[in-house]
Amino acid sequence: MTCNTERPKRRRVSFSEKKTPDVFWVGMVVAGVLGATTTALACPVCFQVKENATTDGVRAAVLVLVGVTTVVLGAFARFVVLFAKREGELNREKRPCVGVVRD
Amino acid sequence: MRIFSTDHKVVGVQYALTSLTFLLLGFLLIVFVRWQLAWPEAGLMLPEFYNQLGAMHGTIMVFLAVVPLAVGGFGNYLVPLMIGAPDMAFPRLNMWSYWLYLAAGLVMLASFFLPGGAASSGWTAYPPLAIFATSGQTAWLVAMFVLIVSSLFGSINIIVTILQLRAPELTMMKLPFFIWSQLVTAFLLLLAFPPLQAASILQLMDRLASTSFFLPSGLVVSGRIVEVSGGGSPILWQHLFWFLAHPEVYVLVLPAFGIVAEVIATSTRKPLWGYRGMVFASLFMGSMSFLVWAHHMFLTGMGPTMSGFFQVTTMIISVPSVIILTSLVLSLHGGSITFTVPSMFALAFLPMFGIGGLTGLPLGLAASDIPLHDTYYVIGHFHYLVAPGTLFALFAGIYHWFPRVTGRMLNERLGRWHFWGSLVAMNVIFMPMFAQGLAGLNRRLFDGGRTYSHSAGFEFSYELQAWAAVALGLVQLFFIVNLVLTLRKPKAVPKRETGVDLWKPLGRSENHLPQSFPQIDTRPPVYLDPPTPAFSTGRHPSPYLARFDTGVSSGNLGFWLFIASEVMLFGALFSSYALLRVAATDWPDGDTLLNTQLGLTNTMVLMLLTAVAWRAGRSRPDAARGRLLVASALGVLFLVIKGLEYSAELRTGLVPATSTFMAMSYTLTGIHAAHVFGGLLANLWVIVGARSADEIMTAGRLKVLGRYWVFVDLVWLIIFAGLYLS
Repeated sequence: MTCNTERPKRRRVSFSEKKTPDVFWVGMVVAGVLGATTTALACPVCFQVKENATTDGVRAAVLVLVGVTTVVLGAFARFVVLFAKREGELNREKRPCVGVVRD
Repeated sequence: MRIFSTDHKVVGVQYALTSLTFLLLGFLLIVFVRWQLAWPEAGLMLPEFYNQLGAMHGTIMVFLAVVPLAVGGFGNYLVPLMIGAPDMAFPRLNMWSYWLYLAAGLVMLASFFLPGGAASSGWTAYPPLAIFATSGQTAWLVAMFVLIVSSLFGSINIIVTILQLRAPELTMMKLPFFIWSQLVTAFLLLLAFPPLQAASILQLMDRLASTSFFLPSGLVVSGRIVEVSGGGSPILWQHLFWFLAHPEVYVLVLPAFGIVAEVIATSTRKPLWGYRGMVFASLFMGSMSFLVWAHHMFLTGMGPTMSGFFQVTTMIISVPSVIILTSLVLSLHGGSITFTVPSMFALAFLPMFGIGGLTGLPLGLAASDIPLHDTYYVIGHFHYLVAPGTLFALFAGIYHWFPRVTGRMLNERLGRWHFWGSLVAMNVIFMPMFAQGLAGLNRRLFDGGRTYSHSAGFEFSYELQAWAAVALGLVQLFFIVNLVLTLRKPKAVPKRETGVDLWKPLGRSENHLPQSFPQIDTRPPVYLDPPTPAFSTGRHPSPYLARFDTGVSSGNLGFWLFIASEVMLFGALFSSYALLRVAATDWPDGDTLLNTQLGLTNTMVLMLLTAVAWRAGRSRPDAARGRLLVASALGVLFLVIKGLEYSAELRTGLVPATSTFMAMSYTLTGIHAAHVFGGLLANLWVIVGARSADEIMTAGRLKVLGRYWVFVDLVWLIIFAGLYLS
């Protein structure tokens, strides 16, 4: 008894086959949102349009913490990618699976 | 049942019972609060005591009740069972996790008996108020510190167990959604808690060593200027606190999603709809939850750029919640739903969580958050998420898995009374809060804002809420009586409802194992080199052998997770340094205040230590012991030089309270020195333990130790550059 772990392959639509790449639209939305934030979403009266040293300090602190978090999450993401690759390779191998009740 | 047990089931039950007790205590505190708000003229309590009750209710409910029940209780008991693991990856650490949690909880409760009572600055412990609060606040900080250590042990255990001890055939995308929810939650706990640990240390320094991390210059308290060096910022606390507290929301919610998914799959007798989408949504939600914390700080005036960024990320993070909730609702479609007590709790969770989530959107936008900030609207919003939201899910889980744990079925009728009573009472309590908040009623006023004209007309709703709170308490008696009566009965669960497949036969999801866990003893060796009968003997696999699919050993993975949390701890401290330095009007040159020569000498010593320890990790065990001894001697030398430096500074009057720079210097180098000391203890442990441990174990420990010293060295280099060379 062997494990048949291969799945029927789905036909993937290649990037060039699409009329408009998804990345383009996502990029447009992100650019629009980021471009609009400072002027459209924030009220100058409430948000001290004249920024002071504390505001700069908070910004620096946020950047440091976001940077550290991104590095840590990036390290985890790298582990996950390597792990997923490894698991995929192992799944493709036809290995004996005696005694395991399968779905 | 042994009390000091390392069995995951025992630890899980201990967590569950303790957290349920805290849940009851935390609830009782708020009943008094509601009574006070309804009839402030009755003089039930003084304002100071009201503040203590409010602060401790929030702290107990979030940190001592809901999270420990969801993760410590359900996670510990069910994760190994669901993935076919013999136990948690590090059982002793698991046991310590529980006992540290209990100790922290007891310290928290004992603080009521301190002079001045318990912490009274809110569960958010905002300075400057918290700095000048009574000694209860110190107990709060110490307890939080211990609790974070406990949480760290627990989260490392859950992650390593899921990734390393899964049954070999159980690939990640076959995991039950409950396991995914526990995995993501554990990551959040691991990375989000250390910044609060850093913040707790800084606040302890402010309270005990008269530093000014959170105190600005010229602060006036009770009409007098406070005599501190100043230069700090209360916003720093908010920045660090909310870095934890926002992901904490997802820590509360994700396990609830996991439990509800299991209960729904069972009660509808069909697989979950959109499993993959739910998994990726929870992963995305977990990652994004680290990028939204400052939406709690719109009122601090952090500038339009920051505000805009956090508004966008907040709106984005609502998407994965909607995906999961929608998947759960769609899972009901076409199902043959059985309306048992757990399924009723799970079904009620869906709209209740929906209300909580939707009412949160206006709070994520600065323009609408500002008028709603600190009003009862906010209380209503997050209580819908946590009370009829998460708590309903937890009750669903208790009713669902109680037979698995005890072999007894809870009484269905009492359960239904418990459910309907809780549903009605909670809505009566929380729904009026939206109206009160929209009218502008502030959440922190001990008379409910009676002195303000806009509170007129809300007296009746306050009274209704008080009676509903009492009713909610009475309804919980059905649950308690049900538990007690059921436990006194003999075990009487039908055969199909015993064993690990309790929640499988009726409605297993396609991602569950079929009927029982695989017969792993007939599998080929699980671990690579050398082959080991890890699972077949029921014993723990060696923690220093790599697993075949992850390619990493449990010991190494645990170490890297620990280092990740340490990076977050020091990241938070460096972030604090950045805020204070950039915001400072006058920041001294480090070499004018600190002894750069001694600092440089210590840098050399530490680099040498790291090189020797690293080399030890690549040596034969007998040679390694000698190298570790040399490394330990260098570590002692580092601490001696540091001590000399401190002593010289103190003699010249440069104490932590002198300036924010000196406070930062003492704190950063002190925490680093504690890590050096910890490393020395670890050296000693490996040297002594090498006599009894096998060769693979010793070699693994030595390598881990070498990496630890590299980390300690890197941190020192950053500290040295930031303080001495700046």
